[in-house]
Amino acid sequence: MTAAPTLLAHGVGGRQDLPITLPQLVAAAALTLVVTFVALGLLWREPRLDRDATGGRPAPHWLTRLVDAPAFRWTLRGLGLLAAGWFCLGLLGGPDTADNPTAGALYVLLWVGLAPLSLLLGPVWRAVNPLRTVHLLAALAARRDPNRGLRQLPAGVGWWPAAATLFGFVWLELVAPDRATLPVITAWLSGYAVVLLVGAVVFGADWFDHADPFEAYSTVIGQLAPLGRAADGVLVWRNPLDGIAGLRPRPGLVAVVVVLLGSTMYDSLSNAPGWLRFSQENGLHPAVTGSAGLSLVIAAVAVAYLAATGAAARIGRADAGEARAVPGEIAHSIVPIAVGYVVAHYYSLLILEGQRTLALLSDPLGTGANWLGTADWEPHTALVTPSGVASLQITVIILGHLLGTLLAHDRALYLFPRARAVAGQLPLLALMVAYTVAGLLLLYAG
Amino acid sequence: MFVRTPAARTSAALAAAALASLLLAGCGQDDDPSVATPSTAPTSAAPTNATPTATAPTTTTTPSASASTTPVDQQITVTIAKRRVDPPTGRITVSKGQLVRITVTSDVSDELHVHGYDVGARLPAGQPGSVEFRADQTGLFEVETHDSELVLFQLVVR
Repeated sequence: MTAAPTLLAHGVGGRQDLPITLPQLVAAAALTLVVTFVALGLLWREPRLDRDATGGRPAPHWLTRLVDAPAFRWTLRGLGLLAAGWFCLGLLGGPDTADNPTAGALYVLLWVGLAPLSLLLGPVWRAVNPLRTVHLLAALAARRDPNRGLRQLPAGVGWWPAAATLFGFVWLELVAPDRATLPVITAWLSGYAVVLLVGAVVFGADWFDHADPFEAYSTVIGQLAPLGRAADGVLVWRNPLDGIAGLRPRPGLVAVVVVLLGSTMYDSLSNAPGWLRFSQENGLHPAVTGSAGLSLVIAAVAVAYLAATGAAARIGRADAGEARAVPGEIAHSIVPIAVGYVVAHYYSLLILEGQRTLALLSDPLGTGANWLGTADWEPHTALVTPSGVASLQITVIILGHLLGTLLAHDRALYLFPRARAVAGQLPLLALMVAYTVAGLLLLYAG
Repeated sequence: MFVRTPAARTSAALAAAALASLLLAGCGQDDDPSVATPSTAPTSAAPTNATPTATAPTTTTTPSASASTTPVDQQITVTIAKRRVDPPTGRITVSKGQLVRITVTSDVSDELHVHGYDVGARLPAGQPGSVEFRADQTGLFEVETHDSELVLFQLVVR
């Protein structure tokens, strides 16, 4: 027999969470409905959330001074560059084996880790984004204003480019063949860097705000952070619900939140045995089936969203101009639901694979080095018990549902005439119940 | 999901498994692939509330051809023909601590791999290959082939 060949998996995780059990599913779904109807009966009668992000308690003076200090900003940028450089060691110089930290660093530490970090600290990726720093340094070297490009970005662009790049990333994460291998990751990241840097040259540094998928992801989730900026730029402590209520409509916002929610749902679906059978037996390349599946799930989430918000606008008797604004006005209420799924799906992955990746990062070149002193780490597993994970998943999904319901309720009071507001939010509640129950079903089957 | 298996450990495990299967094949020269694929193949019928001990083998549908192998708590048998997985891809639940043997016969040369446990076996065309391991880690693990990239089933360890 010849020597055993090196196995290169095609990008599938090792351990995955146990599916939730039927009793857990039924209890959670029932609780979802109870939460919804209790909320409907007991909630406030006037809009109370800070839609214009005017409130909040100013953060202590020293904190504001620290955060706004140029030295602090440059330190963050430097750390971002350093991390990116370290990442590139493994990406460009490391062996293409499973002990290369690149895939774990990109998919687990960056993508999954960015969610809790943003939840706590706000839009952190903006502050450390290495591409932004590269562009800034290049502009400074060329003695040009980084914020001025060759031409003005058209006004209606909003977050549409970010929605597109976000779709590109979730496609890489969930569908792309050999997505854990270096050539695939290198190709994707090269395309990403070209799109972002060329765009920044053409439109100025604003382009990152409009087109960087990680910035959009971090910004959307970061609205839920207890620390934020009021409309006038002052650093404030605030109720996370006020923070997320301040996520103002902009072109492409609905697309961003729908891609976020739809992609986590597809992640569950793609793990269901029925989907696996279908994907393997239909004769098409798995990437074709996967791309179609991802697109269809996102489309289904979008259709449900537009139908529900459209119905809400009709029932709530918004006039034609307001009716067009309703989907954008409600979009913030989807964010906690999406965050709930992200936490539910990726908690144990972040804990287990995150620790493993930190260990691997000590040896990015595969030379047996221990540069960070973490190479011998054995992942602690105490934080990931089967019952603990199942409870956490159900809790965060129902919590996301509850917060989404509160946010939609508050916005409905603002948008619709008083007499119609309760009726107007019924389609929105139906939408959230549908999302939540679908998500629970997928946790059960997927 | 997107993380791959640790190749170094995998190939070590694979080498061990290959060696083991060589030894097994040496013991049972008369292994006949057609006999080793019982139609009643994989089962999840073992009591999931059984205490996880190795001393209570509830061996199920072990083909007579592999009489030389030691008894296990769960015997799971899968055949692959023309990229069709039989029985069709689904979930098989075992209790934590059980000794599990997975026997796969593929019509083309391939490699078997159990994620998470990172054990694997060579699958010469038409001949059964086996992995045997104790399911000491809870979770859901995909059992798949590497060349044909088929998920054979999901092993649920509760």
